[in-house]
Amino acid sequence: MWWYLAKRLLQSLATLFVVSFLAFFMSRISGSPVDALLPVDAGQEEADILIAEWGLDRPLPVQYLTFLGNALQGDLGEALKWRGQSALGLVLERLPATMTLAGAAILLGLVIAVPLGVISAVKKGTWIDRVAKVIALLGQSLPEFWLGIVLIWIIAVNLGWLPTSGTGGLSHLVLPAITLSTTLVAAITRLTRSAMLDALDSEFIKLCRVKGVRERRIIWVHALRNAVSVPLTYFGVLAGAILTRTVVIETVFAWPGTGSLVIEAVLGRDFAVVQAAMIVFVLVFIAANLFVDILYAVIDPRIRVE
Amino acid sequence: MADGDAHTAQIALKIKAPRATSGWVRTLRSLPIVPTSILLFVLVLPAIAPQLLALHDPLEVHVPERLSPPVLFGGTWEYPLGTDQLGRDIYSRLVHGARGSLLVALTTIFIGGSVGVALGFVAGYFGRWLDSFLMRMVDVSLSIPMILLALTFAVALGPSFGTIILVIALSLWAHYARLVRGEVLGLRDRDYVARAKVAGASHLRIIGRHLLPNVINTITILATLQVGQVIMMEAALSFLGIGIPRPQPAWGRMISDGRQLIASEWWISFFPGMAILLVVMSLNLFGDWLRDHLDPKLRQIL
Repeated sequence: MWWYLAKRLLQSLATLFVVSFLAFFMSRISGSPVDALLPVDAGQEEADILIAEWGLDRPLPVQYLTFLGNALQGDLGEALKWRGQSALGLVLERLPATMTLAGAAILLGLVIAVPLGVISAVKKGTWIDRVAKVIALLGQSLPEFWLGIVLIWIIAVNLGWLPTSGTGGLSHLVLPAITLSTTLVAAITRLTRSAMLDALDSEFIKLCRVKGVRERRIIWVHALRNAVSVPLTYFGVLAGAILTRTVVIETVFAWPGTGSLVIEAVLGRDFAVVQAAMIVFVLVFIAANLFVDILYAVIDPRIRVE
Repeated sequence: MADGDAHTAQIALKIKAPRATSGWVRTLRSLPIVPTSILLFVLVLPAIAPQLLALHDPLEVHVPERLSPPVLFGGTWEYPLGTDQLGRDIYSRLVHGARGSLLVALTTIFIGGSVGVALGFVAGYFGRWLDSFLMRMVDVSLSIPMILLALTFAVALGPSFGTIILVIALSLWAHYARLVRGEVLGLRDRDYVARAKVAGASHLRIIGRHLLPNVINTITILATLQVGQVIMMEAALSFLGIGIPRPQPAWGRMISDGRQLIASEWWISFFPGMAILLVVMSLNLFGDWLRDHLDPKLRQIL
């Protein structure tokens, strides 16, 4: 298992390396990086400082190494729109809000989808199964940003149950979390259902039945434990998708996380901040996947032995 | 209802003996009617001939009629789904928006699909370090968040049709590469491939003549299922203002145009969202049908 984790870690480093190269390449693709990294009204003096600091008058490979060296020290450049602040600092400052939102959505998604998937597998072909199917289909097909707007319209404006946007107590978290969790609910429900169908059909479940284990225990302990590794495999990917979607959802609900920061940065053509956000998101995605790998090994003993 | 149809179709397929000669007729008959018609009338027809269906020029501004409600909510048949803050006809804008969505979806899937399939063949067929390298690239590509990549491109290059096509294609190819590689790995060591080699067939001939026909169904299914996903991606990018550039009407952009007015003039955002929902849902149902029809064993994978 340690060998397995070490290998995954090495692979993650390779991914990060490619992403850093991509980020570097993007800042150079638009012509002079001075234009990409400085405001339009910047004077020659500021340009000179930037050129000196990032070695922009030197050959490209040297520039890349400078960029990489700076990045490793946590320096991803200075924000344009927010003068005097580091791009990475801005992104990290807003990250907790995004993580709260994503965490709430993931929690909500699991709490709804896992039982729904299990029940629809157990009661295959009944109305519950059909309802689960419709929910999964809707979750796959609803444009989230639109769902968010419609929820604001119906629940916040017309019914007045919850605040429309912004932050505050827990009540501000409900609508964005629901909106963000729809795709996750759809995916996890489908995955859990098919994995449960397989598990319930297997030999060891028949043995449990023969032994006279209570049906409820068979379903929720024996079968689920075996089925849960399937949605878990996809969980890393899904978590990444959730993180990406926060960009859109935060914009809809004016949630002050990294996502809305990025959109502000795009409007202000602040390349450094967008770049820093991309790198941080990839890092979080990689961390989530490593976490899933570990969790996977904990839940499924077969991995540990290998 | 559609569900029932699909179900009957599945049973019919199960009963059916080895492929009958009238396969095409059966195929057409088993098509899920509701999703297929929605696709035809909401996406395909408007995309092909918007001028036939639209009532107004989608860009034409009618200031006196601005913010007029849909026909059942106190509006007139002149603007069946109401008008936006500039007095542009929502219905006509929806009709004209279909082309952009479909065009982006088809182009990106064609580009991303071709590149991915080609690389998947290279990785699966030739193997060795090429395989490990390409699969590493697949992992990298899948771990880059598409929306952030799009935002970075938009800042570096400026938003345009080319930019979104590039970004979406970049996020699609890896799925094809991974899928095709897996299939090819399973086929590569079959007897008929070895025999073709002995008979002197070139690598290109083996891939094109003997392997491709075996994976083409899988590719088709993935491509169909992705049309809906791409339409959603494009809508999200347009919603954020980095998708299809103005003034071309786009569904995602229309939703963001009406966002601030949702409490009073709800129709501006509501109808474009319904269009996306209907189209993507139909594409999902259609893709499921195609998958069940072409390759039942895939049900677990996709």
